[in-house]
Amino acid sequence: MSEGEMAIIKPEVMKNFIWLQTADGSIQEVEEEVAMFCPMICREILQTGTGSSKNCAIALPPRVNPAILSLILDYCRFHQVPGRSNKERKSFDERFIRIDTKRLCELTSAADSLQLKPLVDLTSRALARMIEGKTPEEIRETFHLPDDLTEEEKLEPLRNTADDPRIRLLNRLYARKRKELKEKEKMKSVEVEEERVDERSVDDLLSFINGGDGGSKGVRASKHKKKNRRRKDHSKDSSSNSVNKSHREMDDVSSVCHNEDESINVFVTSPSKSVKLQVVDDGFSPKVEFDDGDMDDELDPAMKEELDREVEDFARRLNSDWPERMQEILSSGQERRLVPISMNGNGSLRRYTTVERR
Amino acid sequence: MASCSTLDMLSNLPENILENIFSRMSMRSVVRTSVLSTKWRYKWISVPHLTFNDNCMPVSRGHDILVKIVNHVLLLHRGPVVTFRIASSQLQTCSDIDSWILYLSFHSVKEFKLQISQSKRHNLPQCLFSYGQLTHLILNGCIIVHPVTFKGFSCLKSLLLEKVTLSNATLEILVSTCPQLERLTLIDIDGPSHIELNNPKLKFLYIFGNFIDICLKDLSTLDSANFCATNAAHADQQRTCNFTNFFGSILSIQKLVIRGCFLQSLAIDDVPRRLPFTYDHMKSLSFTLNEEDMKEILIAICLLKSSPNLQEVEILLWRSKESAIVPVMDLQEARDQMKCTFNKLRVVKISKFLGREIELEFIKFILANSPVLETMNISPATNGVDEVLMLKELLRFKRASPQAEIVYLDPKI
Repeated sequence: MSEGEMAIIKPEVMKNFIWLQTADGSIQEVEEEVAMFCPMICREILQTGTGSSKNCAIALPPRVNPAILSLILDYCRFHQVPGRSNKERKSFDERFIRIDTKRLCELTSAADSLQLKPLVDLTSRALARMIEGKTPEEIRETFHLPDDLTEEEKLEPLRNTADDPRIRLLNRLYARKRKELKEKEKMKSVEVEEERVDERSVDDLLSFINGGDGGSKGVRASKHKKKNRRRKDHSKDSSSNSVNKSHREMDDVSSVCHNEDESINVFVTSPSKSVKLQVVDDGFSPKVEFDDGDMDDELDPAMKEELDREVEDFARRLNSDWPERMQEILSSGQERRLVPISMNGNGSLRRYTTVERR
Repeated sequence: MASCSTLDMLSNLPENILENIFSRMSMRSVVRTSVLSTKWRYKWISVPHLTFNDNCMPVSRGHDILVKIVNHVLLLHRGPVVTFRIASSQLQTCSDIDSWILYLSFHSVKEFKLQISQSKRHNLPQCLFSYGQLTHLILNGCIIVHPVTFKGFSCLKSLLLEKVTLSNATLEILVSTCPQLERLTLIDIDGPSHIELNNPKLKFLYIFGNFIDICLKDLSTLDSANFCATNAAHADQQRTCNFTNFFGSILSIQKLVIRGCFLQSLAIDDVPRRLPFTYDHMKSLSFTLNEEDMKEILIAICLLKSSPNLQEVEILLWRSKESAIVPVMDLQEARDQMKCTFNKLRVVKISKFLGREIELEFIKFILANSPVLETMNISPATNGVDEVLMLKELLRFKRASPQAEIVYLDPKI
């Protein structure tokens, strides 16, 4: 082609380009219509006018690295063309998500930070498909999750050292769940092999969640309730003393028992529940009873009696024959690997901490 | 361990994405994620949509296990519950259901579905009526008694009652105090003999079961209605809404389906030859027709005449089985009424065709007055059809549309 022809053709082909900068500092240029497909980038361009040159490139959120960015831009480039049929788009999507799980997760995260909802939905669907119906081992293998639960799979009642109402509560939960697990084991013996693999695991999960970590669960639940109430109680001063006191005690116990702080933030967003608890609290004597009262609100009296009985039974047995009980319980959980326990005062607690600190 | 943690991106995804993923999985898979690793123990407990059905519940274990599982999940759950659906074939009436409904009343539930399949119907606790943010409600197999202080579900958009027992008053208050109601479905409800509907936003109406006296008032947004009466109305059954008023309240309807004895029950009183209005928006009309009842035939013609913009018509013919003798009917009155044009009619379906005179009159009428007709599907009755004779008649009929095809479907054996 001669120079003259090239000069004529060039203006028609010339597009506008947008400059994007990823968190690691590298800058890319992208065709404008492709970049505008992302709501976040679109907003940045329209509101702040950045992106038009290399110097004022649009700063992308930290979750977007260059490799993922090029994937996202491929997606945008395909989908922003209006003339494509639904079938074409669907088959593109199907091919697009056939990447390894690590990149798929990064892609989801990046798409979410760019507010590209269709891509978030597409990747979430893909991830859900990968998780749905698989056994835990398969899922761990697919997503490279650490298999770090084995020791905690055992039902582990906490020693009732401080006579804390929370510990009593979680002990109550333990006792209940252990009892139910025993009943289930009796039933298991008459069942078919396949069902055992399938359904029992669900029940077991639930019981070991309630039982095995019901401790920290119950503890944490109470803690979050206290936290909520504290926030709500700014103006109201109801039972503030006992709340603070219990909260501090809670901190000692719970900091040892769990690791996921960010999940707590989720619970703060249940205003209706915390308000309800507030209302209930006013009627109860603050020191000892209110915690149990909260949980009991949703149980009918018959169940409550049964639980009370179980708690007493359990506390009695706990105080008298701790080591024998532990071995008995451990031997009743079949597939769980038996781990020797150090039977000093803080044995169980310490083991929790070593697990968490990994 | 270190290399493992850099590969594991899934556990560190933000909450909203995890919620998105969980919402696409069955309840069972969601709960099972708690065994994956320490980080995953409690990721699932704030999932806002709880659905328990036969897909995710062990059907063979029965009612007790189902109740236990639901109790476990609710006990662990934290945060708002936006959707709660339980529709297992194993669920029976029990007091745990009341506990669940009470628990949920503190969690701003928006969608609630309860289905009791086995056992007798469950007495619903009154705390259900305190669900202030309810937008979708499905109840199946319950006994509903409303509290005196009930002021209505102000956000309710969709209501489905199936196999429930309730009084006239309860049904009335449920329906009339929901200003946002867009969809109403009543299937086999016991108790009410009368219902009055004047919801300003109602778009979809489906009523199936014993004939209820339905009174409609100015449902100007109604798009689609489906009425099926499994029993005919008694002659002395109270009727507050006559034929013209009933059909006059649904003028903007686009799709109308009438099945069973509904038309017959409506036509107990005298039927006008012409309705004083037209359904300008009606695109699709489907009805069962008792070809031995002159009144029903006249109503059918009346409806067809009032729908000038009809695009699809389906007629399911019906006759009493006992009569081996064809009743002699004076069809002149019907023929006199069959005068109008269907300028937009494209598709017609006729089922259980026997070849009787009245059926042929209908087909002749439609063929001669539908200039844009594309297909007429005729599906014959299983026996008693003299095919050759009937097809000879059909061949002769004049067709207004040059593209019209008459498709005679093979009888289903």
